[in-house]
Amino acid sequence: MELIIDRVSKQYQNHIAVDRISAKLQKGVYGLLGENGAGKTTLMRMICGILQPTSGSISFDGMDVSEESYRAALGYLPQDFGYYPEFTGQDFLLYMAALKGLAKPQAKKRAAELLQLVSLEDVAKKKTKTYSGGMKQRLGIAQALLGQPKLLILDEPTAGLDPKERVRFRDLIKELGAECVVLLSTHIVSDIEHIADTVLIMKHGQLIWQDRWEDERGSLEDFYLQHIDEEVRS
Amino acid sequence: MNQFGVLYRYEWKKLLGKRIVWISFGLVVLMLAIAVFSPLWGGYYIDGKYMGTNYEIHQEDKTYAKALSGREIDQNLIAETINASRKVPKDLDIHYFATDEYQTYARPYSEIFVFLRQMTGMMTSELMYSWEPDIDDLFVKRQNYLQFWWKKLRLSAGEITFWNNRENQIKTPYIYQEYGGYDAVFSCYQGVGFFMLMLIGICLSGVFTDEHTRKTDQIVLCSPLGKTKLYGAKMAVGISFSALSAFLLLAFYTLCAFCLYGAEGFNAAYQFRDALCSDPLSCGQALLIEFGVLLITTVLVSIFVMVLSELLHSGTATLAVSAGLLLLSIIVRVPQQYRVLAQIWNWLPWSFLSPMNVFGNYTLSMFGHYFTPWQAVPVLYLAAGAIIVLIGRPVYQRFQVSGR
Repeated sequence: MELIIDRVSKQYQNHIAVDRISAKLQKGVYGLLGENGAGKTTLMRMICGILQPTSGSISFDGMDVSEESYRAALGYLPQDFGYYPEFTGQDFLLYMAALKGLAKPQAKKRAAELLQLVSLEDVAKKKTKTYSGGMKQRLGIAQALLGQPKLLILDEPTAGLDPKERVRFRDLIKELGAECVVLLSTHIVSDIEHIADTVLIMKHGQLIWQDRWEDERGSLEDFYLQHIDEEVRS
Repeated sequence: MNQFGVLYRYEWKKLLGKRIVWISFGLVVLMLAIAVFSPLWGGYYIDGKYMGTNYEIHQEDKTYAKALSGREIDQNLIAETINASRKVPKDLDIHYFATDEYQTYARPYSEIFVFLRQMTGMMTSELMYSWEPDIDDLFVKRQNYLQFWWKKLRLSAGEITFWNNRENQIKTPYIYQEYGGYDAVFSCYQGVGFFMLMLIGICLSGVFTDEHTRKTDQIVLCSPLGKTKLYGAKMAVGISFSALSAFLLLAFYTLCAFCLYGAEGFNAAYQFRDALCSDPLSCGQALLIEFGVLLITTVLVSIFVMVLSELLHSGTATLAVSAGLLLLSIIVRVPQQYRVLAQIWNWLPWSFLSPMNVFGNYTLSMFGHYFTPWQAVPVLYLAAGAIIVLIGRPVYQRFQVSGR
């Protein structure tokens, strides 16, 4: 199980959003840190195949990002996305399950499991337009897990969640990391400190640091701020 | 296939969940109801003198038309008609309709009088009054009028031969049948089509673009079937919606028209409605053909609207283009001297809503055969629809989520 990002760049006219990033991600949780505009979301979109790189290639277990089989192995939670207001939570998951190619009985079973996992089973039959921000975020996490993905891309997964839910989802992501490749981005450094095996730091579209994070190194937040500052000074 | 069915069902749910769809549909139903009822509302005045309600006038005309139903257009009937019309005093200060002579003698034959005038091209009453009624001369005059008309349309020699052959297939003598219900439907057909295409523009311009504005495209396009089966499901829903709406609205309009104006006249020759038509069709057949043509037109326009919305990435811009094309079709008339341009313009979906174009004289010549507009255009529309679907697919698949 390996995600290979090979010299991937994304250029918009005069602006380079992602600059020749290469990485090999294996089973485990990868925390992606970086300031706003560092290129995290752009990189994640390219990994999800919804944004074409200007150059470079992305593959997962030999499958190119453009292939349907690649998308079948993928679960994606975007940073900011909408819902269908006329759908209930259950409708939304069944619709997403159909998009992921799940057969009807399997889809129903999986949707019920996930609604329970994200504590939305009581409001499963309510329309999503009545959901709070946190409930919508939990529904988003549920849809990302629908197809039992081998590659899970989570852009700010804990945004909008209350502290209790955050801790629960941190644990869940950690569990998922034992089974698949999880790449998550967040502004909350402590989230990454708790669950990520490997930390990646992006700045101005470049990957400036990538290594396993050991507790002996001290505080990740301090390390991150220090690293960013060093980069600024240099 | 299973997933396609589920996606198709949910796409329907998305579409029907939009308030604008229900409001637009309701408004179109209201407009059609007004269109079908309005000729009967109010009173009929001539020079300020009240002649009766429009409903009463219509009922009287209908009684006269029914009295003529089943009669052959023969020497006796045309002589009766012309002689009756000659009794109406000339050089009057008042409208002929207000004279006792018209009401007593000519009005019972008004349907035949109008038919004869349109058949012969004698567009002024004076010409008609001076005409010595002769059944053989009627057909000579018709033939001359058709030749004049075909020449004006710049038809080729092959086309003229084709239409002459079609003309010879028309069953004569014509037998008059009251066909008020069919006439009401044909009269407003272009309006029905206009409302249909507006409805399609309003309702379907968001089928694809809503995914972008709601930002759901990110999760949809990275799912295994989001770039493949979903495109087909969305297209299928848009097409089904258009065809179903067209069917329901046409059925509603036709039923209302038949209830108000009568359902008789299925077998009446279409020439009573459009004398310049050389197709050997009855009013009933022509109406069924119009139904089919409108259904296929709505299918093509729905595909066009959906693909255009994906190209422009804007529902509003798509709606503006659709409405603009509809208005252009009403405003712009291509002169007949520019034969090819006029034919292309008349055969575009927005212009082809008019029965005059559906049963017009331009033809498509292929492999030594000539095809009438209603034979050729639906096939061309289906082919164009398939091509547009194929063009739209890569546009949809290559959409890039960026800059949010």
